Amino acid sequence: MNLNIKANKENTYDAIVVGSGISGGWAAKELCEKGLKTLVLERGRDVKHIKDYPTTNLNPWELDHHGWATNETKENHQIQSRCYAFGEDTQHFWVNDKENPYNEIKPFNWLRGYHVGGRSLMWGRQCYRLSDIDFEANAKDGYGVDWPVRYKDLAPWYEYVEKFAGISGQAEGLPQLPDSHFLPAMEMNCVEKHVAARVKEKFDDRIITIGRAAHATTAINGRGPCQYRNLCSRGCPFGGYFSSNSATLPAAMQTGNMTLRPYSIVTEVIYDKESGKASGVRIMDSETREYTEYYAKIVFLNASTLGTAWILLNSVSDAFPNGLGNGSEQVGHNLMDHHYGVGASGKIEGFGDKYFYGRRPNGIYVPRFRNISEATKRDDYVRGFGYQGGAGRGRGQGGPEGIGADFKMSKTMPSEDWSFGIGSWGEHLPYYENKATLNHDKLDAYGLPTLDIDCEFKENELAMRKDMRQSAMDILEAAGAKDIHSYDSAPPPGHCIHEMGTVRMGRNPKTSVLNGFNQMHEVSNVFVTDGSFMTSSACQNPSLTYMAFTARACDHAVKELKKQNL
Amino acid sequence: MNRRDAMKSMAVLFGSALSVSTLAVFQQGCTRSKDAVVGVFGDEKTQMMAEIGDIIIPETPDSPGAKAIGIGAFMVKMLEDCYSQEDREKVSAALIYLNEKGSFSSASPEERIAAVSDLDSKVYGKDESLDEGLGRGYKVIKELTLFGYFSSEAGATQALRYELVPGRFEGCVDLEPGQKAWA
Repeated sequence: MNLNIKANKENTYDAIVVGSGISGGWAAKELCEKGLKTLVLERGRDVKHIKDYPTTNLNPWELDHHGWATNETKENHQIQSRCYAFGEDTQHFWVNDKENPYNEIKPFNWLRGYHVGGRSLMWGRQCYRLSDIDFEANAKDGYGVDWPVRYKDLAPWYEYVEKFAGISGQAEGLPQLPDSHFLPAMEMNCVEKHVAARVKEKFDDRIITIGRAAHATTAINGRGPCQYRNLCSRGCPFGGYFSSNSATLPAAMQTGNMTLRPYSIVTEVIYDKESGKASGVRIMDSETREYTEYYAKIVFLNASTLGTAWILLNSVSDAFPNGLGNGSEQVGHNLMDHHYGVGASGKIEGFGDKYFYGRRPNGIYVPRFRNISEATKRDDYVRGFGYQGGAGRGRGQGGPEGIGADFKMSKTMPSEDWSFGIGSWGEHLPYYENKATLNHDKLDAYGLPTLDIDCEFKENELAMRKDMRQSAMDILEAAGAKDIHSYDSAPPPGHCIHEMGTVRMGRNPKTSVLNGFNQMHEVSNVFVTDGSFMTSSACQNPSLTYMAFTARACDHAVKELKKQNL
Repeated sequence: MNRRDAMKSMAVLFGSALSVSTLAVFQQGCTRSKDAVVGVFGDEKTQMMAEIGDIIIPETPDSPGAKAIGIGAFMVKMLEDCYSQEDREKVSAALIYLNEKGSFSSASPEERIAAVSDLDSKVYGKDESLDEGLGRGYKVIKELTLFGYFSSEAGATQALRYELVPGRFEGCVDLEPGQKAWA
């Protein structure tokens, strides 16, 4: 090992944050703003807001293949190119699968970007609070362990992060989906309004609301407003949506307390037996392959659900032969995603004289309506799902047959009808046997161990999917849709890019890794606030919850530091 | 590669896809040029695809045709970079088919239109006698014509409406008669 031993002092900070994605960005901002000299380590390259969004202002004809990924690109991104947000315009934000292999014990799509900002650049931007229905679920039905927090613990922190991030949406007053502190809601289109009214009239258990999304519908903290280009995953030159690059990292930088070090692969957290704490981290510089150690009083792990599990499992010592803080042997286990790719769509007639202006980067949402009360209890599965979707009017009339001027003209007109569709996002229960483990035989391009990922959906998810499909058809029928088509594309876990749960929170150190403040039970100065802390998956898009828990954990960590408890 | 071997490898490539007469046309066209190779697109095939594209999407009062926006070269780039060898060979088969009844390039404009129109209705009318691979080859040509044209600058801004930066969203506006679709 090439260890670059510099003076400890030079490599010592108050805090180290591992990862710069959606939760790492928040940890950086909060810790820096609280006055801690903070080192942010990112395994990939730097991506500066606006400057490093090379395709952001390109018209389709200015892209070599008008947006299509080439065979060569797909060859290097065999897994990443399965993602809806992957294309010629965004390919530089996704990892090279050849250089970053993992082993699919069962099919699993691990979709990720290794660069400053991580997936906060390409994320779907949907933001929903969890409720006590979610926080109490494990305790009530016995799957997984009880969350060590309840909604009241988190509510002020949701509000705190929402005021900075900017979440647009419509308050609905639902117990299962608490309202956020909202920026103005985006508008539904004519057909969505029509369908929402029909659903309200025909069902007493479900509604349609506009998607809640991290878009600056009015300018917020110097960002935005959103220009309705819907080219978000290229990076937005208007700062129209929340990302680490546009929001949290610039705020952290502004304090003068942040040092950002890209090309830094954290290979382990260093454990100091005498103090019983972590003393810092060891990194490999991905360009020079040289190892360096950095030291700090506290370490925040925000390397992603699978990345953080990898780091902990790779941090072995006499005290922790199975990985740092892994006395419970839960690290890497309880891997969850959301199960989706099931829904229905159809034609809505009668709006041929209506159209729209602008490309709204958001859709509609049907909040969960199953298993939220005695009246909505199902006997075929536990937990629930929500739908996302929307209505649209496509381009071109008539079929594919034909040539010449008339054919051309027919393809330049808006489609005859509007279509409306919804797809579901369902809760995935925590199963111990759904796991990621280290594989020391198959190494990556850096000679580091890879992950064996062994994860599946089980009976509860499969039973829920049947209802997801049927209920979607019910909603389409209630909306008066024609030519209703339902589908279940059965994507593997990981495809929803909501992987979580590998370093779970809990009340009992024997069955969980973190306490209610995202602090390791066994190593008190290590905090984990990426998706790995999630004790259950709920069915809401999780990023907002990672933000809130991160801000809360930073507050707790700094208070504990001041009390000299860390 | 001698002629017999070339014929044999053609037969392997296409299975039973090509009729004897098609193979004969190919054989006659066997020059040293790139265009002679199935699945490879030289100047001649590029030109032919541009003509076919322009027949599918001709010039109209408001906007140029597909040829004028360089659809031939675009198709070749896309075929080479984004499609499989199998698809490229099927596109070749479609081009060979269109050339079967005489040289496409020396046919009159009316004859060319008739030839493309005939193939188009066979492909989308699901004519059972038409080889499936050849049909797929034509569909690729058409798909690339439509995609390439409507995502080109003239296609998006003249044949359709396009705004890189709409600046706002209005979910419910009246559609004016004759109004074009958003690109």
